[in-house]
Amino acid sequence: MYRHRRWLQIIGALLALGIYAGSWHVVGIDLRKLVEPQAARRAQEIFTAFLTPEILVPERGIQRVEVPVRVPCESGNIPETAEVGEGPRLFLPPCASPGTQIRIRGEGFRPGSELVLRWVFAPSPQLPLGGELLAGRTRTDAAGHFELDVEIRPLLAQEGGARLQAEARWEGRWQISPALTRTMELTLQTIFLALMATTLATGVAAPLSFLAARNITARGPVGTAVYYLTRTIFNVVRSIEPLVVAAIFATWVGFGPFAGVLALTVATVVNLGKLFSEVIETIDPGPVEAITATGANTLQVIRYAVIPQITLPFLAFIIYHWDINVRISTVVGFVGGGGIGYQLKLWIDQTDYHKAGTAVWAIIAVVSAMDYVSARLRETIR
Amino acid sequence: MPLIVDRLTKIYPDGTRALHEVSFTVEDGEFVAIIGLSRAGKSTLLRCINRLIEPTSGRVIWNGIDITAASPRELRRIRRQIGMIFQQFNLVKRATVLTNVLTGRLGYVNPWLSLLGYFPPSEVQRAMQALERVGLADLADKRADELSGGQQQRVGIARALMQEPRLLLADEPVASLDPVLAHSILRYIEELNRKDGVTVLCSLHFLDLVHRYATRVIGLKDGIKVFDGRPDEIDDRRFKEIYGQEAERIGG
Repeated sequence: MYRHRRWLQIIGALLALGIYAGSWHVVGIDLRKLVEPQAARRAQEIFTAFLTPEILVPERGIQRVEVPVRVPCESGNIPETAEVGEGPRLFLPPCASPGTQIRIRGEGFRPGSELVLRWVFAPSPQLPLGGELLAGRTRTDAAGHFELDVEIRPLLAQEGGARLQAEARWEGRWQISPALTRTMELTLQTIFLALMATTLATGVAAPLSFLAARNITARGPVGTAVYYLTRTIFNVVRSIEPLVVAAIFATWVGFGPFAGVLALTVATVVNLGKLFSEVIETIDPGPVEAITATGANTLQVIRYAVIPQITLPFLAFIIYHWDINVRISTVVGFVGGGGIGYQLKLWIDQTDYHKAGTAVWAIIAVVSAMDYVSARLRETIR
Repeated sequence: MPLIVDRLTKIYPDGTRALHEVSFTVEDGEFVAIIGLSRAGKSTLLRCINRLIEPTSGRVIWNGIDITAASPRELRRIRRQIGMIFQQFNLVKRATVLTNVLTGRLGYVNPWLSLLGYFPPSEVQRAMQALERVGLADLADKRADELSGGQQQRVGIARALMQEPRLLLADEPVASLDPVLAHSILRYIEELNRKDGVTVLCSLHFLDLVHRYATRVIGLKDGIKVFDGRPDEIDDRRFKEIYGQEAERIGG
């Protein structure tokens, strides 16, 4: 007998060892991958980006003017022409000969900005896609003027001619980044998404929970059947992860918050349904008995003996689930359920890690805030 | 019209035999005390009469109607004429005293309006009168769980009053109360019995209370009726029959 047990233990241990060895192999655990130089660089990049989320960005401005230049000149006389009008203007000869230098002046640009001059070529036989060539760099002065001598290269003599483009760029005041604005919008959307899902689910779960409460439903064969059926449905649906449900709804009604609401609603109905039915099962049976004894019907008994006892516990669970749903809805977005999660996935896919960092921090902030708020609310109503 | 209990038997699903072939007849206006040890079947007997517990066999006939054979609708019409008060008062704790009293009227009012929480002004007035009768009119707006035990039981009596009962079932109405409060509660029940002519079936623990209030005593032991007579007929031999050989008489 003892010997027999010993053998079973050894076989069990060997079996467990085999399973673990197999699992290790199947999932391809390779701890070196975590510290390979390339991987470490990527990790550093991502973590640095996450730690420096994009919150403020400078305002960017740009001014651009283009003027055609003929090369070479047909006549020797070269009067200076001006591009006139509102805003920035360029002063330069209308044509030039290769190998010479022309003086280019500008007015009306933004004072103190970086200024780039380049030649822009239209598509031609030599340059089928057109092209650009840097002509020079300078800065505009305090009055928005600049002056720069530019060499006329032989290349400019090509067919189709070239245009001189002057571009002033500057960075202005720091302002809230579009990524942050978008993150805040979507965080709000996530909270509302969770709120809608919780509310819809409460509407479905509250009546269902009475069917799943033994002390209300499990009377007589029909009631008992309904009780077990409801319980079974709750347990089966509960075993399906919200993420899977979300993926299904995302294909059904399309990507977006609506799919997320539907998925969270399904998950919340079964969770709240089970919690609610447990609340109903633990109520004090005394008032139920007393009100039944007055000749009240079942609905009246529920209204006067059950509901007063379950309102606050229900409310506590609803708030708790709103909190949970905010948390889940950040992830549900990854599989097409809308909200901040979806945008986070887009940013990660675009390797826009600073923006992704903004979303990650927003998620951390909103989840902990909801955690705190829901805990406080539940304390208050206790 | 009498209350006829005919060979009433209750066997619980776990096999416990709580009542065995209990028969008796109660005439209108009697104050019947039901005595016996804990688990002797007193609560089961009272609850089988208004079918809060379904009897296994036997019949309960009241006013010529077989309660045990009544349809759910008929049963509700019968129940609304049978008041009931409980050892643990069984008030809805989070509701106001007034609402608790009004629930006694649920068998009479429009059920749909009552689901919305509406009671006609005449019923609210009736509830205030019931509360005045038990001396709690000034506590109508308090939450039930803010009241003391004695006050809660008086609310229970007011709730039963709302039913304009012909029969009152009282399950150990004073067992959770300080002994000095027992008389005040039982006096309200006695007044219902004497002044309003309500038949009372009341389970009690203390024999002195039985002597003081009951006109008749039914003794139960292990679900079997072992005594049925006047309180003054309970001598030492009868007492030991009901409570067992080891029991000692205290009081009454």
